Amino acid sequence: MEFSTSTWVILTILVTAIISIAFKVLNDRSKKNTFIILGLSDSGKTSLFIKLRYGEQVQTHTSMKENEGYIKLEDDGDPLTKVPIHFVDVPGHEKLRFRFSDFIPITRGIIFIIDSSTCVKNVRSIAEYLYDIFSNKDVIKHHIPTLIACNKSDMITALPPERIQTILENELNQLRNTRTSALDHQDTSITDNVEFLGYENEIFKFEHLENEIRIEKCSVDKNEFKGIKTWVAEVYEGR
Amino acid sequence: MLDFFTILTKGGIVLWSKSFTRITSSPVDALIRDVLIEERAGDNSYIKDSYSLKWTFANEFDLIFVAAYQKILQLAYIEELLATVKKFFCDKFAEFIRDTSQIHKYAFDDDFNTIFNNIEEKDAKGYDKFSKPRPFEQTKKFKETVEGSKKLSVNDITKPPTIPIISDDKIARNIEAIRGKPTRGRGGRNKSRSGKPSNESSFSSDDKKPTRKKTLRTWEDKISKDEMENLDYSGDKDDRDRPSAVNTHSLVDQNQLGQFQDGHYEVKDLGQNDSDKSEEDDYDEANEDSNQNDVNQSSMFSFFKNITGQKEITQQDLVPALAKMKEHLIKKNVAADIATHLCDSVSRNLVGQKTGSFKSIQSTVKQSMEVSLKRILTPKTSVDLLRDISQAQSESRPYTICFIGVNGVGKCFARGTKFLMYDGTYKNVEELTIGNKIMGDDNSPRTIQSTTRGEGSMYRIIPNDKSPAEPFECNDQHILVLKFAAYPFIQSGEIPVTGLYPRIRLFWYEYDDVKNMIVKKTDSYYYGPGKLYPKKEAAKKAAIQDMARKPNLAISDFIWEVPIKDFLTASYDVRRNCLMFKPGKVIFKLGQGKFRNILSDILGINPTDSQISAAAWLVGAWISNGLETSPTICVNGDEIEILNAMEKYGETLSWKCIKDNSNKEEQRISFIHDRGDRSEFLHLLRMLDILDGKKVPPVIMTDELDQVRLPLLSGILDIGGHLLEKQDGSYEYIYQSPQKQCNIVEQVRNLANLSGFCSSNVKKSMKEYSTNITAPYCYTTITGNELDKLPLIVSRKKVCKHHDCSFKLDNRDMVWKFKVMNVGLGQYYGFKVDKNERFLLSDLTVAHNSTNLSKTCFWLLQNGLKVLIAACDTFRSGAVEQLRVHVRNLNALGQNSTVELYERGYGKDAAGIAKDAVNYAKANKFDVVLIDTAGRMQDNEPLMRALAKLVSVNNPDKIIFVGEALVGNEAVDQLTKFNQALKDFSGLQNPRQIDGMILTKFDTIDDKVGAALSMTYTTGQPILFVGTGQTYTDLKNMRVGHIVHALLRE
Repeated sequence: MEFSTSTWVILTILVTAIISIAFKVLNDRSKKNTFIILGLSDSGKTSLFIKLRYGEQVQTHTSMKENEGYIKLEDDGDPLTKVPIHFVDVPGHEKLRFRFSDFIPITRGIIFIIDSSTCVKNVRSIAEYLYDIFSNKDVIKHHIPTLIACNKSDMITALPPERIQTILENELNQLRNTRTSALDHQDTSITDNVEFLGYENEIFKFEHLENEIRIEKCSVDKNEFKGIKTWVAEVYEGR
Repeated sequence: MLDFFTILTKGGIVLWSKSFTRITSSPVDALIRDVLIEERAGDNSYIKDSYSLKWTFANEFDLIFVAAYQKILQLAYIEELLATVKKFFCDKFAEFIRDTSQIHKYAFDDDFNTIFNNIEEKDAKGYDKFSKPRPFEQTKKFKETVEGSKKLSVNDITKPPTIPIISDDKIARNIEAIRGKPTRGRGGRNKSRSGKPSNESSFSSDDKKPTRKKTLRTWEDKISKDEMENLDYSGDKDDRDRPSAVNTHSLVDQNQLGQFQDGHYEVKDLGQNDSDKSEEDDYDEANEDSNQNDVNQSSMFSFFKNITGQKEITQQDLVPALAKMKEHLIKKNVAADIATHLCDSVSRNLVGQKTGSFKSIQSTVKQSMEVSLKRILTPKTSVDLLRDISQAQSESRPYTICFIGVNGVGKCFARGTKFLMYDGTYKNVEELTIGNKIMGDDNSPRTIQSTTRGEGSMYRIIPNDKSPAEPFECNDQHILVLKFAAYPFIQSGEIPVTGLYPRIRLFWYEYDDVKNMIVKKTDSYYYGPGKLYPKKEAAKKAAIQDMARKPNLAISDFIWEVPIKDFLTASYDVRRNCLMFKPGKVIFKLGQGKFRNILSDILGINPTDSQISAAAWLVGAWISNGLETSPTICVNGDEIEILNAMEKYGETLSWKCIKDNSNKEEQRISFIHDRGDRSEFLHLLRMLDILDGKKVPPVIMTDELDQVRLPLLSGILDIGGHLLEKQDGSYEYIYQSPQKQCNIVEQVRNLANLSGFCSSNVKKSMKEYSTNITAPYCYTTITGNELDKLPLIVSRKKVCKHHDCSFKLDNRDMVWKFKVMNVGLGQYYGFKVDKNERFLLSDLTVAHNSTNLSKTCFWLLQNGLKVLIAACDTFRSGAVEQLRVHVRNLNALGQNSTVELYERGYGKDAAGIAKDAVNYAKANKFDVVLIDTAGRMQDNEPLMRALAKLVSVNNPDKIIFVGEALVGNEAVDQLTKFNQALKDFSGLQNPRQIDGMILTKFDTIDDKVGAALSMTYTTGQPILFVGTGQTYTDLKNMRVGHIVHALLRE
């Protein structure tokens, strides 16, 4: 009797384990329904995430770990999508951002947040991050649409999105030159040919990229991020 | 006084925070960036601006607790506060934290105040009372709480060895103190689940304290932790409402909550957490069932808990896994300190976490370590040099890169090893100091660049008897310069092996220049009917033909420079064929002309070469002439040649030769001035300071070779030497001293060795074969292929070089066999020299800064940049020439590339040269200036000062440290000391630090890539490039993934 009880328990555990693994695989790997929030440290990723999720504002610090969750997008109470959407907020610290590539296989869209007020100062870091994203082979392969959200647009020093776009394009153009002439990697057995972004012999423009890029201004602090929500809804529904 | 306390998630969301004063700039972000993300969480505290921060993790909830206080304060209770708050908070708000469906208000202010006041008060009362039991309310509620929290977090409190241990006991007491006090009516879990935690704390701690203390006196020193637990259990049994494990209970709650709320609880996390949670469900259900069942069953569950994960990781669980990991890392050449730090940090991040499904602790640790390593190695700043350069271009200024580095670890000798100095004197290795000049193998000086000492495995090199060398001891790094002397040979192996044809075997030695090793190889040529070679002769011929075609053949005269360590790993055949050798004659540029000066004083005129030779010969003859202390030479009457020669030499020197013919057998010869009777010869001997004790005058030892040393040696041999023809047709002189004047024999030996001959060690006795008595003779043998150059007088003692002398002129006489013997641990003294680093028998290697500079330069040139190289290594002679060669090569390689060398010779101020170079570059529109600095040891203060000056004067855009990938623990020391020096000696407010590293010799280290980790961890700066070979293109970007993989590979 006792034996049979434990056998039962073992069976239950095994079955649940198998089901859950299968579920996980099905749920996570086959669907690309996740939106990832990227950007430099201090650009407002976690704030946006919290705002989207709870509609509230909390104090945040530099993230060490991803925040993630299912979020029902609403616009003034009207749901924008039928089902909650999975969002991941990836830390922007230089040493942690490599994690973003782990999420790319399940990514539907990328929200890249820029601090409009410090954009000029950080343009190189921003461009380098963007370059890494755009040259990621999965991003290229799946044409993952990207929204560049220029946050903190309410600040006095904030630049308009058009201006940010030109600055970024110039910088990416430079980067494209330096990156393609960088030294080889030490381990040549892994040959991931870095794709050339945009068209050769032409100054880099976002529209040259195969994936759709949109630039949107927003201010998470002032609750002006409707553009992000509608973009997410569009991308999500337009499957 | 505490300034600031905050509780945040690892995702960066602040759950609760309290500041006691105005915080100007939040130090928390800095803490996360500088410490936690950098995997330095193994440290204890962090100081930022005026704050000192301490922190603790609650990994089961992904929480960080941070306390900040003024750094001038010494607050001993912070750790206790953190631990207590953590336990209390996690306990109280467990569901809140887990439930991410909404933002909760964490009403924690009052509780925190109570805890804080309590602990602070306790601290104020001093340690004595501190250790006494605290107020202890015997209510059920209290026991439950303690019990609950104990279950939850006994294992959570991190106790890294460096942190003062806070006992569970103490924390329990702390919590109990507040628990019991203010919130009697708080329904504990039920209340908090409702989302409205009570905060009706009515009693102030001051009111309550005294009374409680009184009640407690009775318990003093009686309540141990165990007793408390016993009590707790008894309390538990009484309490029917509460399951024993709060932890599981809360999980059930949470799941219910989740389902209740939106039906999405199962997908909270990506990846493993899903399955974790569903298993938790099972487990919880089962657990509730099993509560009624017997104990056996529950042990069954814990077994399953173990395999299926879900188990909370405790410090104890981690210890063996981390120890193993640490050992593994050290094996991969990670510095020991850093491995320890990393493991501490990983442990802090893991304790309290749940293992994933079907995961062993080991693999969890490995996974966590992988993430940590990746984090550390990922650069936090841009490593795109080209982009930086184009930035500088747009500002129309040259981009400056400064290459700094250490020079190689000296190859070292045991105390007492003697070295020949450039001036002809000898010094023991321990007496050598920086700047000393020792004699190189090409008669030029080698300047000592640095010295080191230490302890290590020592080896004794024992040359065979016939050799001129004496045994010496050195460390295992010492590079032997050997002549390899083995020709390929053919062996006809006609030994009939069953089933095999007879064969010819060809053996040869091949030099593997990658491994710097000589390997013996063999090929077989079978012959016989039906085989490739029908006959033995054909096989032999094929073998001989093949032999000629072998590449990298190591044959006679091949010079092999090999560290003893590696030498010992070579095969016996190879070792047997290795010989040590000595260079030919040594010419002392410094010591020359002394004899000439002495002679000119005596003669009153500038002596001619023949006069000098004559005088030298006479001195030699005198030295060799028995014990005579008067300035006369006794010559046997029948030695006509010598007598004639003396007369002739006397004439040359305008001395009158006076023969004393009183004894027929022996003639006494002395010299006087031809105009007078003053003995000029006496005067000469006196000037040479050898009249009182016969010896080879030291001044002559280092004097001109042809005019002084050779005639001197000839004089000595003419009188006291014997020529022997050996069986193989070669000759040797035997010089012996009849009386026990071993010192003269010793000096003659040195003289011969320095003059291009090979003189064996002095034997202290000679066996008379006839009488079998050991006679007290000292003698040495002198051999060499230039013995005929000695201007001897006596014809029978002359080595002829005519037709039939069958004089073997190969270098066999100048080489000898030797043995290497391990003599165990010992002290060694090392030094490093310049130029080709060969000084007679020894050789040292350098870490070549300039080589890597040239590789970088090549890459920049390929990108169409105009490069100026500033030769600021004004210290190591040869450095500028080395760069000049590089520049010439680089210019030849690139078609349109422009690279120039900016040099101002040696000995000048490097900082000034660099400054001039930058200005020159600016004026001439160079894009990049590469500054080559001298390699220096990190302990050499004057040189480090000079480096700091160079850096602060020129403020280069990048300071790149060139280090060897082979270094282990040394890496940390080098980098910290370089950084420290840059900081200490700069005199600047914001001193510069190393901006990046280049790791050289990366191709030689296989997967022992630990240095890469040690270096990035120490500096926090990226490795820009790795050098993977000797050519200009062997510079690569480092791939983080590759390093991490190599580090974790078994």
